[in-house]
Amino acid sequence: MAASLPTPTSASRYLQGRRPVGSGTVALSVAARARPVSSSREQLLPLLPSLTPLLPGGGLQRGAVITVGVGDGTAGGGARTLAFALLAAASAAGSWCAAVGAGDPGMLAIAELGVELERLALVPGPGGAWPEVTGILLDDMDVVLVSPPGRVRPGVARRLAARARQRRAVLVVQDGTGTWPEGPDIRLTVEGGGWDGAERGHGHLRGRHVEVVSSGRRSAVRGRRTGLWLPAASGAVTAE
Amino acid sequence: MQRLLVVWCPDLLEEQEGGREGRAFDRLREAMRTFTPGVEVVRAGVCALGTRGPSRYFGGDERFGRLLADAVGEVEGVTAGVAVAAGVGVADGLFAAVMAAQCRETGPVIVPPGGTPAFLEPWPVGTLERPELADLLARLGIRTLGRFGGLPARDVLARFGVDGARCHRVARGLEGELPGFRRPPPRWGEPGEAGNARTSGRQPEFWGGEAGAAARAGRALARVQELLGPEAVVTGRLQGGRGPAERARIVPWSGPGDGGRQAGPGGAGPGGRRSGTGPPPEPPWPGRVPSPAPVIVLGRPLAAQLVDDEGRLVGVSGGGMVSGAPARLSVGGGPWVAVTGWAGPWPSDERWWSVPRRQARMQVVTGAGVAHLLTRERGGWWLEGTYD
Repeated sequence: MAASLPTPTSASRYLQGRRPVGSGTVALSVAARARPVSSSREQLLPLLPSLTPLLPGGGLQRGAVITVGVGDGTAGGGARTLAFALLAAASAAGSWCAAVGAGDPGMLAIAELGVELERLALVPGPGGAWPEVTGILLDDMDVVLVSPPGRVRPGVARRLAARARQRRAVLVVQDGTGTWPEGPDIRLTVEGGGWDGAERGHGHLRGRHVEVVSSGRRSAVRGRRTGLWLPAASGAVTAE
Repeated sequence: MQRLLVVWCPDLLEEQEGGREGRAFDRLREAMRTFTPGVEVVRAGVCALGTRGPSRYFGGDERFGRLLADAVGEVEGVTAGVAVAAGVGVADGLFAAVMAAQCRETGPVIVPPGGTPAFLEPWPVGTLERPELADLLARLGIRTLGRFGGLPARDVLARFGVDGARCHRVARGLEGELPGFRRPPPRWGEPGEAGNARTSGRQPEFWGGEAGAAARAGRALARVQELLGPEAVVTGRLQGGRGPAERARIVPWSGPGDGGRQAGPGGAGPGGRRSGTGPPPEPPWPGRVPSPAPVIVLGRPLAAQLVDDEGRLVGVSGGGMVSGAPARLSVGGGPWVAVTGWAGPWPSDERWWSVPRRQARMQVVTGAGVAHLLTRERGGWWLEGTYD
């Protein structure tokens, strides 16, 4: 087949004299492994203003585990939207984020939430390797969002929580009903969720109104209910 | 590996003063966009588009390549004051498609599916754009990609490191492109975004301080790729289009440092970041469904049934009217659920390329409070996304 195809006679003109691309090599070198002290010192990563009432201190606490679920456990209730929204401000401010097991992500919606796509890497289908992948990413990313495929074994949950704490990363778990066996630092539960705007043939979806309940051990925000448009008509998350 | 068509314009690889090259390149891109909106600027003077949909539609890579070469040919000659010549190539993977486009044959060069490894064999190792690697290989007497690809992968990894191993995979046609290969110039990015890139006041130093974080992230992702394969890690890129899958493509993660250095087609580099929240302003797309977008977009839409209260399949007329109010929905042969709210349809008569093709989208809210985006196409309904 290839015999009939043209073959090169010399190094192509296109590539001659072009600037070499060295960044891949540099980025992986041992010298680059040193953790910058400055970025690990900040204990709180920023949140979108509308989300600050949800978490103690109004930010993502490094080393913490945050679960995000819906009250009745069904899909379509806004857990995924809230989980990605938690990454938005941090990614925009320079933090590196990863999403493991997100299946078929709607990248446009994720961008509309304010997530900086350049600093979001996704591993949509890790299969049974999701704990290992999550662990690798907790080592070197600032925020890791994981959507486990089913109930998580307590040992796996404990190991990942310990790794997040040790590496000062934030672990966000998109939680089905009882997926995450350990008590997280913060549990966010989306309740309600009526869509606005889709009349019978008129208008368009303009937003979903929900209440997010914050709970968790030793938490200053325990029991707090926050009304949100998740998302609002712009695709972003706004306070009610 | 994605099958791509590449248009390569040797005269437009460097922009001279006055921006004439950029304007000439814009004319070429416009000609390509009559076939598909998904034209991506890979580098100055090089753009690419996926051939899977268009080739199927136009009757194969050969025919589609010829059509596109003709369209590009009409722009060739003197455009915007510069001489323009263009090569067209189709192959599995961006790297091979660029090589094919550079053959400077009179017609498009089509590397058949699966033919990339054999096609790449005779090319010099310098085409990998790794001068140090090429230099070391030359000292070993290895001058072609075929010879390089013949080395055992384990030895390459041990001798040349992770980047060398990726070059090796590209040379063997196992991987489509090298990290850092895509370098779209900000000036030639998508309309709107480029403007923002120039006017944004951010300084490069701001991101320079984050180089360590970018390096760590790149290292972690490379480890995941070693574990699961290079295609397992993806990211998103915003571009023009109507549906959510067109407007934000999922692309393979292209390597460490990339994200901090270059954006997607917009090419907003580290010195010209847009302000951070939300997608850039874009030209209007008729038929576009308004925000918010669904946070789940299926890679392969699921067949669905949408019926009115008498059980008849809901149709969409050429004028964008529904035949009856949607009452019930079933997805993938699953149970029927009641439809409590709906909006649309948004018809888009010209979907991908110049030949008309009818398609319409609707938003549907079910009794359980779940909102879906449905597409009417080819006589049926498809679940395209869900607003989780």
